[in-house]
Amino acid sequence: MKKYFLIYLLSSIIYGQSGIEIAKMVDTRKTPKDQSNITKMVLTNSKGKQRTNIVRSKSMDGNKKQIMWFMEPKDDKGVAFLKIENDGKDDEMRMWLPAFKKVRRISSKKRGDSFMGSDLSYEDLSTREIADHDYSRLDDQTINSKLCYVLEIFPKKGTNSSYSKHISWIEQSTLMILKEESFDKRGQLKKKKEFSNKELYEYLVMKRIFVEDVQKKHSTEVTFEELKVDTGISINLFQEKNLKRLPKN
Amino acid sequence: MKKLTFIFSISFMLAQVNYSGEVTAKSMTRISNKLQINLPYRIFSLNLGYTLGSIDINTVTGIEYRNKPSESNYVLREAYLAYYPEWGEVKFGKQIHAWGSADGNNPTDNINPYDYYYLFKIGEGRKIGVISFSTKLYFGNANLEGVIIPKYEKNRFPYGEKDFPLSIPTEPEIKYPVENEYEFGFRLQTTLGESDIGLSLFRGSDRAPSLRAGNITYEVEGGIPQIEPLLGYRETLVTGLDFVTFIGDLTLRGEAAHFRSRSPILKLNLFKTPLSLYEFQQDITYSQYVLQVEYTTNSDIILSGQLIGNSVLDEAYEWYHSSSIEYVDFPSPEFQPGMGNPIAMFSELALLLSSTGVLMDDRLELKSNIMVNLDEKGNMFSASIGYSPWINWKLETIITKFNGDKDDLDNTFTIMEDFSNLSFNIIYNF
Repeated sequence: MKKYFLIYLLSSIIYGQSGIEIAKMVDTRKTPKDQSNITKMVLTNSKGKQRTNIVRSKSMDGNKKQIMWFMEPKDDKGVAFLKIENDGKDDEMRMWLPAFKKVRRISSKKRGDSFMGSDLSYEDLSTREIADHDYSRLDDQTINSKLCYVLEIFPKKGTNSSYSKHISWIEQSTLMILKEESFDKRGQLKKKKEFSNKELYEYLVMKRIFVEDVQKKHSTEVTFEELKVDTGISINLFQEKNLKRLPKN
Repeated sequence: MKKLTFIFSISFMLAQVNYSGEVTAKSMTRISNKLQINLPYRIFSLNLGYTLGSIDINTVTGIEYRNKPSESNYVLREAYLAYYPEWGEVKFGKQIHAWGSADGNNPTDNINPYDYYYLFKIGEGRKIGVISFSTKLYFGNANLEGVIIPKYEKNRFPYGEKDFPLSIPTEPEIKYPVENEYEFGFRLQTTLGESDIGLSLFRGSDRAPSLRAGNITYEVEGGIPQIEPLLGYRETLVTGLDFVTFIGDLTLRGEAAHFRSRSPILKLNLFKTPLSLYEFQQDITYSQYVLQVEYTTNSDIILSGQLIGNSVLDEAYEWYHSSSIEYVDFPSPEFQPGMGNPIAMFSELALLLSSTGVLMDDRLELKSNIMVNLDEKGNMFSASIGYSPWINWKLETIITKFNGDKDDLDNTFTIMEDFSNLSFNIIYNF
């Protein structure tokens, strides 16, 4: 008995935090109160053909409230999207369609649906709740000279997810995610994601995401330009009436 | 004047101007004889928005064009001022409104009349703007909208269009235009759990004319009366319910509207009323509904099915002599609704199945629609392919086919068979 206790104690000293503890550290990392940017999405198919979407985005509460307006291509200009994540119940998602002059409520249940034809799904754009997932720590790895925690993340039974698991590489010094692999319900590798960050005032914010859907042989590069943080975005901005008004800046 | 110019210049510099629009070249060919269908279409459309603080000024203008003879008309579809205080929205001007939760077919959406030249266009494209004052109050998960329309607008019908099969040869004279032009409506929408529910009420005049009176003559005394129809507009009160909810991977949308349509009392000068004049009073109650189920596949193909119905619940007609108020028994015309879903003119019960898919990173769009008349024989099928060879450009091919009943020449789908067409569009968005 004593032998097993010593082995456990030694393991704890060597490995430090558990998966869930690391996840909690990442979750409580300092983030901006609000953020606005111009999001550029370049979609590339297996033949190398590209299409670019440009979106103006504003968010707060760690992206739990997000509103975005599509600027390009021109036939999408004016389409706008509002997402409000609610604790304990389904997210609210609404879309303003200028061609119908209507705010259309859309289902948040199909979280695996592609967002505007990109390789990012609605689930990829949503916050991952710690309580809805199990975390397992794998051996640390180094990526681009950066020492990373490696977490295996499993959606709990009953959680609405289109994935069976993720493997995430989290830079130890910054607690920012650098890379992630996501697996579909059959356990097959579905997506590879790479993240780049930049310093903005006292924060580290994401400046680029590259997503490759290995099954569809398709990729999306998302860059966040004209990043602004803590500009005092009002909670009143996240109302459906503001979907109809293109923002100034 | 100089001060005013200075103020305008400064406000223009501080304000934000947004614009978007579309240029379209269109060709429509009849399938039966390969001849061009010569109907007007919107060759140019411009949305212009001017924003200063909480105030927007928006306009939607366009040019309607006909190929032969080449003619064009400037159209001001919308022009309104909008103010966005913290509690909601206030808008005044010529506007297009949209009520209801279903897609494309909305029995509860009766504020704007329809432009029947664009009957097969979905969304706001087939509506006519009305001068109106509207306000929307947001509170919690709910919002309450009120609309007042001080000036009546009617549907635009393709009179005298030989290329449009349902056309009437000439525009009928409206003997009794709308006297009380004021119309109003309210809509309350709230969220209950994962559902949105809307309740609405609208009171206005029918968008299409109906029989209002008749000059009665007899070729032979005691013979069959010859009725010269005199047209006017009924007044209609619409109460509506609409909802959207989610069950598993399915989205359910629905609307139901109850219409009470009555002929207003004619204010006639009895001394000038001809003895041949008989008034026709109608009191009709009818309903329309749409039930829609929507599903998105794993390949992002959107599948949608709509059951569209309308039925007359109660009808009462009276003919009476205007001077003596003597009731008579003259034949009554078949009821045609003056408001509600335009599909009601095709069918009392129809099933509409749609699918939309995009490929090649949204560069290729495939759509198909089939409408089946469940009441009588008849269906409509349409399929379109839209391809974007360059950004903001789209080449579109649409085939539309109507199939009626050879043995029933009055069947609407039979009449529409000759309108089966192939359409080519080149669209540039800016």
